[in-house]
Amino acid sequence: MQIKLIYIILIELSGCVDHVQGVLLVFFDFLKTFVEKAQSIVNYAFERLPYNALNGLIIYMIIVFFVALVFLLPSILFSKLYLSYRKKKTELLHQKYSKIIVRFLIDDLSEKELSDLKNVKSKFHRKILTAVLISIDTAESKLVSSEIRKLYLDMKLNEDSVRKLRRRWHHKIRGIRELSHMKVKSENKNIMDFLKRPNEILRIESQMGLIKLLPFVPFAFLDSQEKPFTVWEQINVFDLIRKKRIEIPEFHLWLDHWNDSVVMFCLDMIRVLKQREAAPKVMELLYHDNDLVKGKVIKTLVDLESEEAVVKLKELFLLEELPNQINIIRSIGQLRLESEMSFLIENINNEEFRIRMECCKSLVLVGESGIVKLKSLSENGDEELKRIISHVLDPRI
Amino acid sequence: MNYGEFIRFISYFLDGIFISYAFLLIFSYTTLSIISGVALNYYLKKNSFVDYNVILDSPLAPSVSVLVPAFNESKTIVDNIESIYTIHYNNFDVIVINDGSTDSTFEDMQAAFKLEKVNFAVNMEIPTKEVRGVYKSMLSTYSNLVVIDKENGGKADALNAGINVSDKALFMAIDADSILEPDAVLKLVKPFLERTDRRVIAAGGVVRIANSCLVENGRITNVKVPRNILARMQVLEYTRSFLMGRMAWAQLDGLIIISGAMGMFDREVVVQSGGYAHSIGEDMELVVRIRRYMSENREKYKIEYVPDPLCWTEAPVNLKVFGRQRSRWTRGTIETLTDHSKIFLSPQYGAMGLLGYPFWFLFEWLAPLVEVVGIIYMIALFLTDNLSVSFILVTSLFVYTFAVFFSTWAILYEELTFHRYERKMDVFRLWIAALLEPFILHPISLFFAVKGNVEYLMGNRSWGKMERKGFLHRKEKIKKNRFKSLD
Repeated sequence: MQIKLIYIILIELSGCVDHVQGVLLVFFDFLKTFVEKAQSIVNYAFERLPYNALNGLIIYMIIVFFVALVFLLPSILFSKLYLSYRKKKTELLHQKYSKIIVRFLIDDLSEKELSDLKNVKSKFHRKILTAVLISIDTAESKLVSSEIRKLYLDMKLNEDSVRKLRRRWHHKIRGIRELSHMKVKSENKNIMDFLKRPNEILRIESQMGLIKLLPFVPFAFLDSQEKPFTVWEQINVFDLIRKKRIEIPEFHLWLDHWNDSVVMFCLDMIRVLKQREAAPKVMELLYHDNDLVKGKVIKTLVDLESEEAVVKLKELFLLEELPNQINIIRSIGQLRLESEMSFLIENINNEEFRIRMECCKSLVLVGESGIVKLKSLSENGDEELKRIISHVLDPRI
Repeated sequence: MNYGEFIRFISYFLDGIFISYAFLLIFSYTTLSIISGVALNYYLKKNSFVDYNVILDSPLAPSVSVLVPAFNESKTIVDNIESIYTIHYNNFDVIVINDGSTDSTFEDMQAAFKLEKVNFAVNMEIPTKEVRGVYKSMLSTYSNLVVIDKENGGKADALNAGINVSDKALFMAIDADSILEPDAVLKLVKPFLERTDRRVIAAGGVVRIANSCLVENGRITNVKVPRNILARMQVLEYTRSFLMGRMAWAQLDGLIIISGAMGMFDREVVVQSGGYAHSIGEDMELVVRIRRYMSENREKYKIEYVPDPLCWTEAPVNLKVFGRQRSRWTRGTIETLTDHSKIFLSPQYGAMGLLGYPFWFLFEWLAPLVEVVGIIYMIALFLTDNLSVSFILVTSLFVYTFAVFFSTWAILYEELTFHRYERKMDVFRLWIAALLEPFILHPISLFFAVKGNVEYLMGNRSWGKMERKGFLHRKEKIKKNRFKSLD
């Protein structure tokens, strides 16, 4: 019966082949006629046009644009269909594997199902499996991490991740993310090498990866940070510090770093994490060459509530550029020291509007005595000062 | 040389000029598209690893003022302010500048947001027309809303007043009718955070056309190709310009325009370079001027461009308004280029002087004029019986196939990158528009571009009136929600 069926299929197939052959012959005939016609049109146009070389170029360019159009249109359609198909397929697989992994975590997976899972060969499926493992691990409590990590290693998905490190930059990033999430430390050396790459995204991901992979020296990369450590990188690192339980170092250790962007990052960290013991080392940077660093130093000292800094800040005031002068006044105001009111009043008649405004704001921060002083100053002040004082005293602003 | 030989010489000369110009134009556009394709590919890969939410609650994120100049926008102003409050960002304030509106723009805002006049001391760093008062919303939801009521002085003057009131490091200038994507500020702020040794002084993003799209609660919820053919063709135009042109110019460091509909700037640099100028094309002029300022002060800088669709705007659908807009764009371009002619081919200004400016001069200002001269030349040849009909047909076909090919290429980029038009029929509709555009939109644009040149020569420097139809789809829904949010 089966043989008969196969025989019938073979006969049908040979018929199909004959048929396809016929169709192909007709198609090639059509193509030949089309090319001949096109050629005759081109020749016709050539014969009737004035300058032949130029016309040749124009006609060939028309053909190029036309052919390109013929390719572009199906490309648009294909990309639309392919992207929506891929999106759907990814979603379906994601759901399927999520269910399986959850069942695995609650020990509801049979031996066969587990072995099927471990034998998934398709690259696409394995890629989705890795993503599912990471997303479940991120969403679930810490209890499942070891189970998920074990499954990741059992399925040898770590080998896929390591292979990614040898491919182009965006694959490398995926590899770093996967390995660092699953705490696979075998590739730390490779990831450290990526810190020196010119590609900034790869650099950021390597830093983030190393912070996760080296829990005892997470910020070791700062020692060799050659490129500017951008605010974007700093924001990402800070986010990681907050979300993961990473050992926070004493950031004053890098305050003498030759890279100013690293110093500024450490100043921000000292300020935000309130590392008060760093205040003396921060104070040393008040005479730093870089005005931006100096600005951060002023803010940091005030946030650390370092009253000793006030004397130095006042000394520096006249030597500084406008942005740092404003920073100094703002900082003194934030300390709310009644003893510093005289300094603020001294500068209230400064030529610069912003300094006057900042002095008045700082006086309001000092409290009742500052407000009383402002009101008395308003009586004899110039028009601009009167406007500024009524601005700072308006609680609605 | 006799008369016949002289005419032939002139004819060969002009042929050479037109053909070289056409080939140079095609070469430039093709090169820009390739550069932009490579850059888009890189951007998309890079962006796939970015989590913008880390900016949201970071103490290191910069503060931003959103400046909204409004002149006679009573139809849409309340909806639009509400739409701004759908953006995802924490450290921002909204400064609306009522530029002496003669309708109920200010009264509508005052009623909707419970505005009260405050004793705001404005630091007039940039001189502006008289500020009548600064108001703040007394509603807790809108506690960071500031409204400036001032004498009419034009869009540039209104923006300058907003800059004076702002105390943030960055400001984002948007049109009153712009609908922002929720992550627009996050995406525009990011380039400023990535500053290295070159200071980022401005960042622009892609503006899309919102006609026929469904807007709910200040957000675009259903993207559709406009039903109106003029608006639909403008979708193609915007896609070509924002996705293929400006993206490439940003890579070449030659970008000299950030759309007035939405752009983010470093406040300090803008103030130091004098703020917005009272010109017709104030958006382009500002970019050129801040670039000049940085170059002349030998400071390293860059202007960034974000290719994500960040802002949606209403395209004009009637010829009168469309004509005014195009004429204004042309006059603005001419004014900026003539005011800053010093940078033309000057190496001191880097890629802006050597590439950006010459491109805008040759292919934005001169293109319509060259085309008109070409048409006149063809007519002259026809009248003197020197015109080969086949030649005309072939060159027209050449131009047409390039135009359609280029628009199709833009549609492909859109599909491969952000594919905001999800329906298959939408892509087909866009392609039909690409086939028709050379016969409909192009001649109309050409006419108004030439008109703009003539008007500029005749001394017309007015901004012109832009009528808004408003986004009709959202009206009912928004009204219901507005009162909810104001409770």
